[in-house]
Amino acid sequence: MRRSSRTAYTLLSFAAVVATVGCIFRGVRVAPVGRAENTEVLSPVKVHLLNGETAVFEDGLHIARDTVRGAGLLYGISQRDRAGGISVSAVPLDSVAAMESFSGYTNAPATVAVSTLVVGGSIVAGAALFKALFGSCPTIYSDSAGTPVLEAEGFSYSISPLLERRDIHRLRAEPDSHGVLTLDVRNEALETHYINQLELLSVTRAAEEYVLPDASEHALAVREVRPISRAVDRAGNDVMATLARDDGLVFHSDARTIAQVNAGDLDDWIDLDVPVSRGTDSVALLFNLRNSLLNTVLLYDEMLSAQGAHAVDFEAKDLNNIADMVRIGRWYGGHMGMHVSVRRGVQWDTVASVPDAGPIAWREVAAVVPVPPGDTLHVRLSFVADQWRIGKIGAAMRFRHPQPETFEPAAVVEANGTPADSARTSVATLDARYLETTPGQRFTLRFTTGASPRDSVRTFLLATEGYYTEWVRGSWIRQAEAAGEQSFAASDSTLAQTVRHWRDVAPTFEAQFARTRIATGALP
Amino acid sequence: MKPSLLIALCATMLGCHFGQRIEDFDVAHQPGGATAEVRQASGTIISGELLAVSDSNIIMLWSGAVTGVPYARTRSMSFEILHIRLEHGERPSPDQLERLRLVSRFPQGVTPELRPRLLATYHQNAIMSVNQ
Repeated sequence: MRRSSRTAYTLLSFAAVVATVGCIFRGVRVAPVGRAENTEVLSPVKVHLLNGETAVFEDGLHIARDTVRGAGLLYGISQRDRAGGISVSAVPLDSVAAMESFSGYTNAPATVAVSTLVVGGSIVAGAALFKALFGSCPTIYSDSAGTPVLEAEGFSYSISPLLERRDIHRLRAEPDSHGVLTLDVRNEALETHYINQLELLSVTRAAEEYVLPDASEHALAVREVRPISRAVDRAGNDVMATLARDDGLVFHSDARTIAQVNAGDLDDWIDLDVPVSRGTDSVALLFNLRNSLLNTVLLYDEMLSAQGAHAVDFEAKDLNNIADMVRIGRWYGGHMGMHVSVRRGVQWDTVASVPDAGPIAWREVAAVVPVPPGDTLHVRLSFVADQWRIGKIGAAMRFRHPQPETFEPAAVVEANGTPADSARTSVATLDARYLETTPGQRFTLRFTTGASPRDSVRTFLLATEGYYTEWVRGSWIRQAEAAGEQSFAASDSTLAQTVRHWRDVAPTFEAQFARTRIATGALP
Repeated sequence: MKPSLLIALCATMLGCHFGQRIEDFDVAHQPGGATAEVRQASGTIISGELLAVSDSNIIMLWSGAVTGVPYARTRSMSFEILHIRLEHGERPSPDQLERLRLVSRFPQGVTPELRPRLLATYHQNAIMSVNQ
């Protein structure tokens, strides 16, 4: 072979190998930052002042009223390098000439396949996939005497690389006698999962403490848990009996509240009373909850299926475009989740937000709230009507934020028992490496935690970070073609329409949802 | 080693990740703008910090001086961080102009308020032209 043709062969072969094993394409997006109040950016932002100075906020910023706030460094007009900046925490908005944000992205549509692992598993083929209705994110199971126990679902609503987020989940699983904690991770949905990190957190606690994540996805150790003394929903129902105990009774929004939803009034709420000792400055509200399938209906029926074939573009472009995602994210964040307010006199102050939890696994989560003077804390939980299923609410009078010990996976094992070292590397640390799984795939995680301490107790939590992309069903395209494709508008009208639609389809949808989970086979 | 094995090894070692990472995107972490490299009609290459952009020229900091460079008077102009290269006096497209603006030192442009402060900082009375 001549040298030139050999070179060409080599280059072509390289391209072929790269295309075959799969590649992640990534980049940096630079976008102007608006001046709207409550704008929050979590990636680096440069703020250019009218006088020529520049402030760099490496960890992002928040715009509160007329001020830009964050941890930044201020540089003079002639400074170019990052050394020599002066700390700055607030910049008046009227002194700002321009702001731009910088954020990394992974180009999911251009990503052929992640090279780290092809996880073994039972791929459900062909038509069966398109009948599936199940939509969520990685489901995490432990093994209890041969029976899989659902522990958690990861990054439930991270439907784009730009929405990649970390969440943590309390585990019931314990290490075995050798100090090894084993979890099974499954893709049971019609989605492609991109898993960035799976990390085990261990919190050493006192016997009387209980450990769970808080609404900011940090571990919280609580004690002195008291029941609430009153719970009334917006329709006037006394829901104390439902919420006071973990007895299988679950809160749903009243049908009258759902029926009255319109674009100007989307919410249901629950008013709680919590007895507190005088002088208490804050308490931790404890929830056991999950989302209803309303969010899933919003994703399936409004965001994706109504767009028909354009849903492919929507996932590939709009959900990867910073400006569009900021718009959609602000709208979504403003309505979805659970907003926690406390009453001060006649006014309700929003003090915390509990993020969406996903519709499959029950999640224990806490929200720390301030306590105004008095012996009763009045709390209002607001949310889009029928968005939540709530099993129990309590209140802890004492709490602390412990520093957990962290463990990378010691091993990742494919469904056929083969060790998958590249997969382990992909999920061990938070970096640009992702483990991709497709419907029906699963793998086993093993963490080596060592022996339990003799003088204390440990609680384990699992941190998950990543995102997923929903598969666009053939039936969606056919239905949208028949009905006329409609683009998705992130608006209150859309949400009101979704709630009305949800009211009509909920019973059928919930039954189908449970029936059509994609099988992944038994635990190994 | 067979070429195919070498290729497979390279692909594996590369990890098959392409493109920039935000950690390596210097402009995001420092006050300075992106670097502009200009090849003048004479063939001389000048390189410096991109201060501002407009429809007709860029303003860059070259050799310690605030310098205006009209697109029309260059053989080429490149901005490696954005993979933008303009040839033979070519003007940037509106999309390129916006992207360049966002990685310049002063995205707001050299405004009447900023101009005297900027020139005083570099001990100039006026923006220098590359032809001077």
